[in-house]
Amino acid sequence: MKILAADDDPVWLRMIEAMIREWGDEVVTARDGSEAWQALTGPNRPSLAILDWVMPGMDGLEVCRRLRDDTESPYIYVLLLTARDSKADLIRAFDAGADDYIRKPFDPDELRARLRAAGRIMDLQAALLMAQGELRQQATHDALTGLLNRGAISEIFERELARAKREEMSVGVLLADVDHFKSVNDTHGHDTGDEVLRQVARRLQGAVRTYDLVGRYGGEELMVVLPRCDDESAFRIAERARAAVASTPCGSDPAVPVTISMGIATSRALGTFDANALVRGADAALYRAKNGGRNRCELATR
Amino acid sequence: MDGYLSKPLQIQRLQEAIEASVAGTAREAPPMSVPLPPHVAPPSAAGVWKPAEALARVAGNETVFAEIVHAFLQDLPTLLQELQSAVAAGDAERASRAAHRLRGSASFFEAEPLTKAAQRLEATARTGDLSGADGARREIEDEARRLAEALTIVQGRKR
Repeated sequence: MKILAADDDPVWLRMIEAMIREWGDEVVTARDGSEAWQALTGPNRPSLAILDWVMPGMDGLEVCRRLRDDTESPYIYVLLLTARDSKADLIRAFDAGADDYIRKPFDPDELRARLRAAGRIMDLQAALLMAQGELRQQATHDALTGLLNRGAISEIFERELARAKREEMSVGVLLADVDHFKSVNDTHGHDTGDEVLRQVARRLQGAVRTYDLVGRYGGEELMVVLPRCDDESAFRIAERARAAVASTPCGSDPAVPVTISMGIATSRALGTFDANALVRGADAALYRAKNGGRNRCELATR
Repeated sequence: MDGYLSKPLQIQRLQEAIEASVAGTAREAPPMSVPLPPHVAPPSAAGVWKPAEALARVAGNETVFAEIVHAFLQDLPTLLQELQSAVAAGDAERASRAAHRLRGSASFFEAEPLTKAAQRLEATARTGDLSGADGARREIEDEARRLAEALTIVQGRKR
């Protein structure tokens, strides 16, 4: 655990620093509120702050309040040091967002016990954040391919459209469908089918620009959202993706030659920022690509 | 630089100070670099601070303790100066802060007379009225000097 100790009194600051170090935790020190604030907002932030209430400039309570105003960053546990013990003062401390307080003068045993309690809370928080992250990943990603799932890619598409409308830019959308996927499954089995999908997903991801977003839209249908993209670029990207899939067979045992067909629609070409209209356009273009012999890209036109 | 420390801390002197404080008997003070005002009693740990309790604050780590004593002695003149100028200027806010700081440090050493004196001045300053605070301020200075002298003995500071 990395701990910040902030106190303008060198006596207590040294005591806290030495004890924490002896207990094997990492400790940084600050001599006033602004130094403390810098340490708490800079890179490699501590997860726990021991703040003296009375410090010149910004006091411990103010540092605490500012920390709590920032709801985006990971929670920092605040242990407030105080020489006050009136009920009103303690309520003020907790209202400012302190998690615990310790009264001066205190013994190392008490400090250690309070740090252990803080450690328990911080461990719980870390476990909670990890679980939250996993849930978020599960909720937004497709388990088979690791791509964004239909809900997530649709939401991103809507967001990109709204932004493009605001900034008067063009957005493109690609719908890619694996050619004769059913026969891959029928001939080689579903495990091979799954492997083919994973490989197609990986190649598509590798062929698009770094800020393009790829999702699994349906069974063997993938969607790519292309921010800031006109017809010409969208077609070029689609062709690159198509070639990447067709160039080498997918899977190793057995290696299956696979191609994809793609329909492309851009907001500029269709003159709309409506997601449904664009997806319909891309879908119709995809249909033409299939009818035109597969392993090809088609642009939607007005 | 105000002085220098001989490390390691002279444990024997600390031990003596602890014994003196426990027994409540003052031991003979070595000659001081600064002559004490006549009204100040010869320094000893007894009643001025509690060495055993203070050392326990750093789990008996004498090196850290010596550093803390050093930090306090270095910090003290500035604090007293700040207190004096704040009281002279009638600046209650500054006086209260300085007294608060002093109280905090004194409480580390379990230096009760200084802690109490600082607490009194802090309370007075918080009322915003510093008239008559000069006596309290002088009391703080006396107690601070006693503590400093007692700590200096323990620290084995060279003259």
